[in-house]
Amino acid sequence: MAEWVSGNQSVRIIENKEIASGIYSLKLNAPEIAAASSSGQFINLYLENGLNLLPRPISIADADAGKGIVTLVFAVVGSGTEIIAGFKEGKIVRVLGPLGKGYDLEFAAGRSVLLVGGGLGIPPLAYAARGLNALPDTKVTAILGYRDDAFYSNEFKDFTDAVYAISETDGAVDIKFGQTGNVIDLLDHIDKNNAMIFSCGPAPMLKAVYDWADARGIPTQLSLEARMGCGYGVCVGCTVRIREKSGAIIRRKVCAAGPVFKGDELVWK
Amino acid sequence: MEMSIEIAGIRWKNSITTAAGTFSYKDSPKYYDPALLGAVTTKGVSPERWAGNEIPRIAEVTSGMLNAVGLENPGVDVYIENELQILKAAGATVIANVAGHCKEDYLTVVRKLDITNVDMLELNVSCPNVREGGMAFGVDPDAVYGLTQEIKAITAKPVIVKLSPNVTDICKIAAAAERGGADALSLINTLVGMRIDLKTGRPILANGTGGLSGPAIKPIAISMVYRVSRSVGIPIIGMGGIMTGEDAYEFLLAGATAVAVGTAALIDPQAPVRVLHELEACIEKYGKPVE
Repeated sequence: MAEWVSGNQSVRIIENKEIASGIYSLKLNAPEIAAASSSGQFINLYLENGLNLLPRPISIADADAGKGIVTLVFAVVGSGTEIIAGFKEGKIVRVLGPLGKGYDLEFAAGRSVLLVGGGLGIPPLAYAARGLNALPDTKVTAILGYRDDAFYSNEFKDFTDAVYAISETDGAVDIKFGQTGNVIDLLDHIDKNNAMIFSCGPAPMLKAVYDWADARGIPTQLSLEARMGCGYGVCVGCTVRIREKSGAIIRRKVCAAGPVFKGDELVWK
Repeated sequence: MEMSIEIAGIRWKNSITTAAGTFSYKDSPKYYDPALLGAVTTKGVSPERWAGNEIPRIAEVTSGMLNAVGLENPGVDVYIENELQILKAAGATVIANVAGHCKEDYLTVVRKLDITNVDMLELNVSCPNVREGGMAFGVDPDAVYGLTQEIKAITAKPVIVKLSPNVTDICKIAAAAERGGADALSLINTLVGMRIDLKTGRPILANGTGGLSGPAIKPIAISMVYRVSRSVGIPIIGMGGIMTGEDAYEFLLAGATAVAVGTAALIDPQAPVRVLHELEACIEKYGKPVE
C-alpha cells in the first residue's frame, strides 16, 4: 500500500464550446491526467456548488500528454451537466482521474479494429483511434451512428483508414451506404476479415453490436454507461453482471472493473 | 497535537473513522494510508455473499445522495481472509460492520469475527435497504436489547450498535442498546428517502426507497447525537454529512467521542484524512471540546 495516487485536483478550463446541439467539448489543462490516461478511461468532474455533490463521470475524448490537455465531450442531460455547460474558459474545477479500465490496445494490435460509436459514445473512440494508429499492422475503421447531425467525426480522420457515418434521420451526414439507418446497417457492408470491435454508445446499440459480432465470432470490447456514485470503486453503486470463466455470475463495478468490458463476459438479458 | 482517544477500551490515534460502506480496502488505500485514521470501519458483512439490490442504486438529491446498495458483500469468510488481513497488515485499527437478515445471521458473523484480529464490531441494525433484518431490528427497542445482549454473550470484542434515525425516539433505542451491554453507539445511519423520475413517474432507485446521506442530514444527526449523548453513559461515534473538520468538531461539541466520514469520501477520496487535519486546526482555534 505504499504507492499513493493523486486525489482530487484543481485544473483550469481552457475551452468549453457547444459542438452540436446540447453537446459540449470541454478542454482542461491537466498535464498529470493527460500523461496517465488511456482510451476508455474517464474522469470525475465536481460541481462544488454544495448542492450537486456527486461527481459527473465523463469519458476522456482525447488526452494530449505533450500539451497536457484533456478533452471531454458531454451532453446536457440534467441539472449538473447544464451547470457544466455554463462553465467559462479560465474557471478552475476539481477533477479526479484518470479512472477505470479502458480498452485493451494490446489485444487489438495486428487486427482490423472496427470502432463502432453511437452519439455521445463517439468522441471517446477517437482517443482509441489515436492509440490504435500507433500500433503496427493495425487497421482502424470508424463506424459512427448519429441520431441527427454528425459531430466529432473529423477527429477520426488522422488516425483511421476509413470513417463511415450514418444518421437515423436524413441529416447532413456523410452517408456512404444506403440512406438513413444505424451502425448495424453500416457493419453489414464492412470487411470482417481479422476484425474486432471497440464500441461505445447507448445500451441498446451495444447490445445490437454485440449480437451482430457474436453471430460472426468477432471479439468485442464494450464501454458501458452507468449511474455512478463515487466513480472510483467505493460506493458499489454501479455494478453489472459478469459471467466468470467458471460460469459463475458475479457483479462487478463498472467504474473500477470497467467501464470497458469484453462483450462475452457480460450477462445479456 | 495529541489527538488519540480511547473508545470502549480501544486506543485510536485520533477521533476519525470511516462510515460503513464508504471505504474500500482495494480502492481507498490508493489515496491515503488507512493507518492514519483512528479506525477504518469496513462495509457491512453477512454470513454468506449477498448480491445486493438491482441498479440504479444511487440517486443524487439536493446536498446529499440516496443509496440502496443493499449490502452487497462477499460474505464473512472472504472478508476475514482478504480485507481484514490486508488492513490489519497495513497497521489499521479495524471496525467490522456486521449485517444480517435475522438474529442467527448476526450471531454467525460475530462468532467468526470473534476469533480474528478485528478490533471492534459495529452491529448494523439500521440499514434501510434490505427487506429483512437491518432497520427492522433497529426500530424496535426490545429487538435491539435482545440482539445486543446475545452478541455480547458470545464475543469479547467491543460492540458498537449503529442506530437508525428512522424512529420516533432514538433515545429509547439507545437506552435499549446500552441495557443490552453495548460498549458504544454510532449514529446516525441514513434516513429513508425517495426520488421519482419525472419522465417515467417511477422511483429512480430500483429498490424504490434509499438511504439519504450527506450534508442534507447533518442538522438531524447533530441533534440526535446531542440528545443521545445526554441520555446514555457509553461513548458515541457521530456521523451524518461530515464534509469538513468544522463539521466533525460540531459533532464533538454535540457529545460525540469520535466521528465517521462517509459520503464526503465518495466525493473526495482523501476526505477522511483531510477532515482529520482540518479538525486539528479547529481544535487549535476553538479548543478541545469538553467531555
